[in-house]
Amino acid sequence: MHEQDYKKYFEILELKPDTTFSEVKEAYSHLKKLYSSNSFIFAPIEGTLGKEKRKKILEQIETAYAILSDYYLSEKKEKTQTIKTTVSNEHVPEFDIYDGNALRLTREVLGINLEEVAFFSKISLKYLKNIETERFDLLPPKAYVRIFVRKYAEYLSLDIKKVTDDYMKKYENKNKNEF
Amino acid sequence: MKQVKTKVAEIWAIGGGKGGTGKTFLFSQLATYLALKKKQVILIDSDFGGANLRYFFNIKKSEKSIKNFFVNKEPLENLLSHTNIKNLKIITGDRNSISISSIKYSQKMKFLRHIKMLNADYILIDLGGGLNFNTIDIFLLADKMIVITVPEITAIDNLFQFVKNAYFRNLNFLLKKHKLKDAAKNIWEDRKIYGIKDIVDLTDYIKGNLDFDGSISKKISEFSIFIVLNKLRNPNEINQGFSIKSLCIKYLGIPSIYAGYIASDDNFRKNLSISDYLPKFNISTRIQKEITEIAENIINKEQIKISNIKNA
Ligand SMILES: Nc1ncnc2c1ncn2[C@@H]1O[C@H](COP(=O)(O)OP(=O)(O)OP(=O)(O)O)[C@@H](O)[C@H]1O
Ligand SMILES: [Mg+2]
Repeated sequence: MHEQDYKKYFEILELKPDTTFSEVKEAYSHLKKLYSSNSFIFAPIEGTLGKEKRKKILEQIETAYAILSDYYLSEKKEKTQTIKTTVSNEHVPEFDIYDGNALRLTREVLGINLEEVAFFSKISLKYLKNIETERFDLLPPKAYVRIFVRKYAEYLSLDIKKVTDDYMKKYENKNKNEF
Repeated sequence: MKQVKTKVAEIWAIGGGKGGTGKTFLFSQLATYLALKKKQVILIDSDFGGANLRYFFNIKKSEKSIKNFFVNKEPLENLLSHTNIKNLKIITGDRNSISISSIKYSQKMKFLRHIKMLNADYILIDLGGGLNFNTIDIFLLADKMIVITVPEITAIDNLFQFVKNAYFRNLNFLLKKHKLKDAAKNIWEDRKIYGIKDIVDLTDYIKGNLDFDGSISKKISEFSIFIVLNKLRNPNEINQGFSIKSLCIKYLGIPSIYAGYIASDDNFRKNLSISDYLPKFNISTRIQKEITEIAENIINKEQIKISNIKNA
């Protein structure tokens, strides 16, 4: 499907096409809730149309959400990654040492929120937050941390080896000092 | 003295059906905001029955009002009152000598033409409550049509009625211009034959069957509204704006933008003198932030962030 074909699904969810996936999810759950509810605001407008129209709207919302989810999980993901590579070559600051803060700053420059990273990397939001704030005490064992950092770096299109090496060095030092 | 018109003003109008929802309040705030952004702003009180804008700006009754236009035939530009905000002038209303339903067609057309001739960056027109067709015609003149309501069923009902009436009046004007007078009405009466169930179907039918060069469709889709929700008492009520917007889109087929909301502010109830409050406009208090967001969203045709939704 071409970009243009998705337009109508964004329209059904009352969004502009340049929306993030988390906004799509939010719009979807609000609309779903609204049209499955018996909110008092239907009374003045529904007239004789009744439940039938609402059922049709709900179906459209479901279809739009299903199709847009696929879009974000496949095509859009590749697309954002290609954009990201070019962006990262041009505008993204390079850090001498990649620690939690450097990851956060890079992510923010790229305009990506943590929910998005969590969604695509399948790392829980809680762990991602702890990686950024370097709350090593709240992270799972070392081997997992390495995998998470690796995936996170990959999502940000950073040099995976450098980021994991830097980050894990800091992780080990910190743990050493504490014991 | 005749002024030379140098600017094409963007006209904003506010309506919404129910009285007391905050039309005059919002427009006095938006006008102030735009003026402080160094735009030349003219705010017109066209609420003939309940004109009260001058109280918001502390303007004496002795100054000229819109009455001078309708009764004495003076040009609108002679009726501008200065306010204590530099770039903001207002034309005050008059509640005694004119009534909205008695305005003649020719007077109304002259009024609309003269509004367009005023020299400003923005012209904001405050309207009264109700569904009178003269009110709606002035509303339809605007480049940006704003409706305001409060989270109460009666007010929301009025808003839908108002928007629906405005939409139909606009549709009929368009069709009439294309020599299709009464077409909408006739099709609606025979809607069963055409399989039309609601306004969305009706519009689709007209677009598909009566529009030979695409010009009607284009004009129909130019009708769009900005929605503002006022006097919220609870953050959960923010969602109602998204819901109202959705119903306007899905049940009326009208492109709608939820431009923002304003919490109910008890301070300014105590502070009855709004004229004291206005000149202090800066973006530090909550209400001023809310006004700023609404103003910028209307300027940029943007909706408030979806992250405002409270998905419990
Ligand atoms: N956010 C708010 N918090 C508290 N009071 C408000 C708020 N907005 C408006 N008001 C108050 O509500 C009352 C009605 O407001 P306003 O006169 O602006 O309504 P209106 O829609 O112009 O009414 P009308 O239809 O009669 O012209 C006023 O006393 C105003 O000060
Ligand atoms: Mg008013």
